Amino acid sequence: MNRGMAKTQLLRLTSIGIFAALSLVMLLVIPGIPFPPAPFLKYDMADVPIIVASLLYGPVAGVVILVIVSAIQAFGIIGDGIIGFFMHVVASSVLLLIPSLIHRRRPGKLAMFVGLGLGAVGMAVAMIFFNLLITPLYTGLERQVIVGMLPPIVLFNLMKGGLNAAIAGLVTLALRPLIHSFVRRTL
Amino acid sequence: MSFTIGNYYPADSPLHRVDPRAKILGSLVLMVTLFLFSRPVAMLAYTLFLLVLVAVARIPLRLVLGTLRPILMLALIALIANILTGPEPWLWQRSFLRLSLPGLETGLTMALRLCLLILTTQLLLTLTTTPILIADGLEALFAPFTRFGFPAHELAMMMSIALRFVPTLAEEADKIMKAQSSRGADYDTGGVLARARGLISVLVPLFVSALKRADELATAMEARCYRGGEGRTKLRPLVFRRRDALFSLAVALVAAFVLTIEHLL
Repeated sequence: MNRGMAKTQLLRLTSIGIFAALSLVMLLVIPGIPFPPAPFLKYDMADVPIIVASLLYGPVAGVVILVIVSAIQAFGIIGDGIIGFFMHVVASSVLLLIPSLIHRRRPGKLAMFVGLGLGAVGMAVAMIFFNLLITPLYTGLERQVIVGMLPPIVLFNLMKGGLNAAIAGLVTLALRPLIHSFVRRTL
Repeated sequence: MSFTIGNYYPADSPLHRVDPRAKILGSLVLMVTLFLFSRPVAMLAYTLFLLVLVAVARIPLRLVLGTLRPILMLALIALIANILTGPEPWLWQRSFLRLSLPGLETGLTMALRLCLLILTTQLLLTLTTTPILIADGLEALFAPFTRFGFPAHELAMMMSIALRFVPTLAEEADKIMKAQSSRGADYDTGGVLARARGLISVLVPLFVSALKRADELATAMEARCYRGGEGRTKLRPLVFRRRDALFSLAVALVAAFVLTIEHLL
């Protein structure tokens, strides 16, 4: 009666937990770099482990990690609650879903980097709509005003997404041989 | 290297002891309420309520206000942009620069609301509830959805693993950075690409070590016959006491009171 979970399932569960921890470490240990044209935006690498995990373990695992990290961030660290939670999940899910879905279809090196690039662009585009939709609600600004503030924000999102995607791609390439040797075997 | 995640302020106050489920639901109710009022009287009443919470939680006020730092810039920008782009009548004008009076009002309301929003979550959850308890609370709140296939327990388990391993991996990152520096890795000079290369020399060993830890942890859990949430007992089960019911009632009353002021007075 007391049979445990299969090792493959367990390894998936612990890996997701540990990649979420890595993302929090990126956020907490490495200080954010402010972006001069829009000083309320800061560059951080918290998305790198999430993108790597979504390339290695698939889109579902990536989204689960994103949800966990966003919940801990929004309720346990920044305190922007449910709003911050949704902002983070929507923004980063585009960034990780596009490359991991493409990677699943075509596992080649080139296709992976193309997917990562598309993910970064996709995130920047999604954020334009999102800023127009949500930002007026909590700043009280007219849509036209927000449109005027968009260029630096779009530039920042492109840079942050692009840089994180590129780093994630390089790390994934370095990790892949290892994954074949001991993680893929069981996952 | 001692390391705590987030802003938790350890103390033994009545607010700290309230059940995390009550605090999570309470913060949701208050957050929705915050978007439903905008009159200065209502704002003032709500601010007074938060001050009472600070006193009950026995947290220094300076520390509570310090949690606003990350969004201060955003609040300031919302305020300034509103003043510069708002409609007539003008508060002050010279050539193309016009300061709008209604814009000042909207801007102040929005900036204050943003601050109250953050303070509410900080006081109810972040400052007074450990992340592990928040995870437990979320698991309990989502447990009813398990029958529709929602993995409430697994999510909470992964959340706990994440929280548990942040200090361990942070220490490891520190060690790897020092080790790579001693081999000549460079993270602070050169162009973006050079810095990125330096960081990759840290990230790859860090990720490899994380994968190893995940593997070890899975083996350890397997050896102890971990089999998911069903029938699993807890060391400290959540119990909903009278104190928690009183807290929920207080939150509901505050929300009702503030909305009454907004609409009737």
